[in-house]
Order: sequence, then structure tokens, then C-alpha cells
Amino acid sequence: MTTSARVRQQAVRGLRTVRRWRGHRPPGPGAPPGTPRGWVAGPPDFVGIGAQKAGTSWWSALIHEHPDVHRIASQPKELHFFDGYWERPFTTADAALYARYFPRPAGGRSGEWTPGYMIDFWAPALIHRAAPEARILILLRDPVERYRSSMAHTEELSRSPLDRLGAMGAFQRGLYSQQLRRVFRALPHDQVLILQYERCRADPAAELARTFDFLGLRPFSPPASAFERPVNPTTGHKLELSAALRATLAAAYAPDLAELAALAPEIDLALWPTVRAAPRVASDHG
Amino acid sequence: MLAPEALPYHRRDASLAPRPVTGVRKIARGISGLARSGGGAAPPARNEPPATPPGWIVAPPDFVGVGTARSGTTWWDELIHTHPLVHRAEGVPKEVHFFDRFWDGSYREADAATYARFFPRPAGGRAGEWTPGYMVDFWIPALLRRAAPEARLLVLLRDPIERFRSGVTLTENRLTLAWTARAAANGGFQRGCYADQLLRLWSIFPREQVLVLQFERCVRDPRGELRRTFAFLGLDPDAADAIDVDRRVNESRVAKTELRPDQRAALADAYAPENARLAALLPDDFDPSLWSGFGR
Repeated sequence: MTTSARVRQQAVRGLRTVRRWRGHRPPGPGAPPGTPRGWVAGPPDFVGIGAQKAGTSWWSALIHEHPDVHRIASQPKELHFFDGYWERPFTTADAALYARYFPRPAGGRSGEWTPGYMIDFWAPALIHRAAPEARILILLRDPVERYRSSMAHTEELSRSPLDRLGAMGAFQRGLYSQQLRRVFRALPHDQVLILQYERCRADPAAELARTFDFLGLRPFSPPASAFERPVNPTTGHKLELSAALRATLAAAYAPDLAELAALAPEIDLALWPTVRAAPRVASDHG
Repeated sequence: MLAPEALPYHRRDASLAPRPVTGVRKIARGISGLARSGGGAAPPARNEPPATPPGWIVAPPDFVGVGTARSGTTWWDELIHTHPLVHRAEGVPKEVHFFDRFWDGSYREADAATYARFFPRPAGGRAGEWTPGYMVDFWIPALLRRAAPEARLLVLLRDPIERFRSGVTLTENRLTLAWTARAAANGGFQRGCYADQLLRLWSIFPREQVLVLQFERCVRDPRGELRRTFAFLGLDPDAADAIDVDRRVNESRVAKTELRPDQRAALADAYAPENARLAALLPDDFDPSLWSGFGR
């Protein structure tokens, strides 16, 4: 082993120690909850898989307003169950373990929403193995707005200056067509509902009724106050993008957005200012 | 005081200004710097442009390699530099990484002149660089077009699964406190989504200004593909006859990471739609049969 390789190996080892000391734990949820008496655990009835910073906490909370949807109080909205299965293989025991996170009374429904599942290229196929019948929810938002919100989120979490890798990661999460191509390869088309954040904001009652219907739930109207509840708001500060950076992002997203109409015709691209701002992509680009 | 719009980011609230680097953060940063210096991804250029040798002229690059990492670009760049008309000034690296730092929108027109200073050459000579990350960074093609509008662009593509494996071996995603195996896998995966990157590139540069090469074809027929490269750069292709085709450069010195069968299968499945799109985009320059798992 060369000296530089040895230095590198020692540095990596040191870094792991620092990360452990800072409280980093392996990816994935804690132990599954106990199943209350009379309830049964089973694979989730629904799994939200995307997208980050697109209003999924708000929408998940509205779904849980429905009297037939259950979640043990200690359980989070986001399980992150599949985050660690790049590092280790996924087995039938893991699929059975996933089911234990979803106890519900007879006739009830249960699910989770981890918005990062959609970007993890290994996750959709594993979700299909662990919960083959689950209905899949995807909430999309104007990708430039999503990028802005995502960068603000990163900055807040890490409390460190934003950097190039953060910018690349945030950009890639807005490549919706690329992600949907993988989702539709792994999961049956008719099991996937694609919602649009801007439409949910404009008419939450109608979009929620559509969501309940897709989940096979009886019609239900939560109190008007539930729609107003601020969930997971950007706390304190708001990151703004310069006009130049917005234009760059709009142009960079244009080829991916050009393919979205065919993949997800239910998305109304006119609701996304990004699409209007972007230069037209020549039609001979595939 | 600059108007808010003139700044890359305008913060309404200054309370989240970067914290001073102290204690654990300082140690961690030092460690990640050490780890980087051990052969990971090259840091953004902080190096100054070279002094212009007497009698040489400075101009924007004639060619810029923009992709992709772990695909044989160092080998191909060296072969291009065997041509007697291609020059690289002392101290200029193969990868200038000039545009990496402009992700925040801080590029200014004056930066174009600085970029040109990396490319001195004698009258009649050619100069260029090859930073394999330019193609994947969403902000770079547009800036490159502003700084070097006439440059011919080179893209060398390799089987994305092999590229991924080679990148994992090298830990191309920087080690920091926020680094996880999940983030590294996603970052590595994205670099192999070639069709998306090409479409973005072609929306900014005319297609005829971009040469797409396939690594596996270059390995099979280095002279033929180098002739094609020289012709594309407006150079005499016959210079390709003089090269040493057996020379290997920039091979990993560390043990190769092998992918588990389930990882390989997951990658093949996820890349399948992207490779199919690439094949449709490149009916002539790309032989799908040279890539493993194609057509799954």
C-alpha cells in the first residue's frame, strides 16, 4: 500500500469515528412499534415516494385526517426504511420487517411517505417486493421552486455553507422524468398517483377527495382548519435565487420537462412558471 | 452595496450565516481534505493561470473535454496531446475545473478572460483541457458557451455500470460529515445518466460542435478513433499513426471494488431506460452491444 493510500485509509477511519461521535446512526428507522391488541400489522396500503420539498408533509397530514387511516403515535411520517439497502442486500426477512411498521385495526389503512425513495434508484423495485399491493403517491412541484426550497432546507439542516455537491443533488431530485421512468419500470402504472403541489394548493379539497378515492377510502371532508395547518414550514429564513440562476435552472430542466408530458399527462405544465421561462427545446432532441 | 439581484443568493435573514469553523468541524474538514488528497475527486481550481511564454498567444480553448469521469479521459487527453500542434503550458493540469465554483451563479463576464489565460499556445497551435465533471454540472455548459463559444467539445462515454464501479473504487464523491453510502451511490449513478446530460449539452452547443466517443470503441480501435478525434479538432489525422497504443495511464492503484450481484442487477435495471435513450440519440456513434446488461 502506498503512503498516500495509507493516509487516506486512516483519514476515512478517523472520519467515521467523528461521525459516530456526532450521533450519526446507520440509515433506516428504529425498531418497529408493538402491535396494539386487536390490531394487525401488514404491508402498507400506501407509500409516498416523492418528492422532497414538494408539500408532502402537508399532504400526508391531510391523509391522516381520514378516520380510517391509522398510524401509531410514535411513528414518523418518513420511515426511510429502504435508505440502507444499497449497502446491504434486501431479503424476504427485510420485506417482513417492513410490514411490522404498519399496524392497523381491522378495516383500517396504514402507510408512510418518505420523499427520498423516488431518487434512490434501487428503492422502487424493493418497495414492490415489500408491498406489492401498495398504492404509490408522488407529489411534484415546479422543479426550480423545489430546488430553491431544497437548498434552503440543506442549509438549515447542516448549518454550513452550501456547496457544489449539494447543488448537484438538489438539481437531480428535480429530474422528474428520469425518476418516473424508473418508477414505472418497477411499479404498475395504475398503482401510482401523481399529484401536483400547485393544484393541491389551489383546490385542496378536490385533490384530497381524488387522493382518498385512489386509496380506496370512503369520501371524507376534514374540517376546513385542517387545510390551513402549517406543516413543516420553512423556519425563519427564505433563500432566494438570482434571476440568472433561475434562468440557468429553467434551461437545464427543459429537456427533462419536455418528456414529462408523455410520462405524466395529469401534470399541468402551465402551472409551473419554470416551463414558461425556459427556452424551447428543439424537437429533434429525441 | 450590491442590489440583491446582483448577488447569487439574497438572504432575507442573516442569522444563518456560515458558522466559524472551529473544533470538531475544523478537525473533520482537515480529515476530509486529507482524504481528498489521497486520490479522490480533484478539488475545484484554485490555481492561477500560467505565465504566458514569450511569443505565445492567449485565447479561449480550441477544445474542451466535458465528460465523463472514470471513462478513460486521461488516456484520451494524453493521446490528443501527442499531436505536434497541440500545446499545454507548463503547470496547466488536464482538468482545470474552472467552472466548478460557479454553481451559486457567481460567474461574471470577466471570468472568461481568466479562463482563456489557461490556454497559451504558439501561433498556429491548439490548446484545450478536459474536466470530466463539466457535463454533469447543470450550470456549466451555459457558462462554457459564454467563455469559449467556438470550442469543440469532447465526450467520452463508458459502460455506466463499469464507470460506476470505477467511481466507487475512487470515492468520487467527497468525504464529508454529510457523506453517506446512499448519497455516494446516487451521485455516482447520476453521472452515468448520459442521455439527460447530452440533451442538456445539445440545448446549449450545436451538435456538430460535440464529438461523442465510446470508451470501449477507443479501446478496440485507438488509432481509428483518434483519427476521428483529430479530424473533429481540425487536425491532421495521420498523426494518429505514431501513437503507442499499449500505453496505459491513470489506472487505479487501489484494489477495485466489486459490486454485489444484486447491486449490479439494480444498476442494470435503472440504467436500461437511460441507455435505450442514449442509443436513440446516437444512432451512429454508439454501439450498445459493447455495454453489459444492455437491452434488459
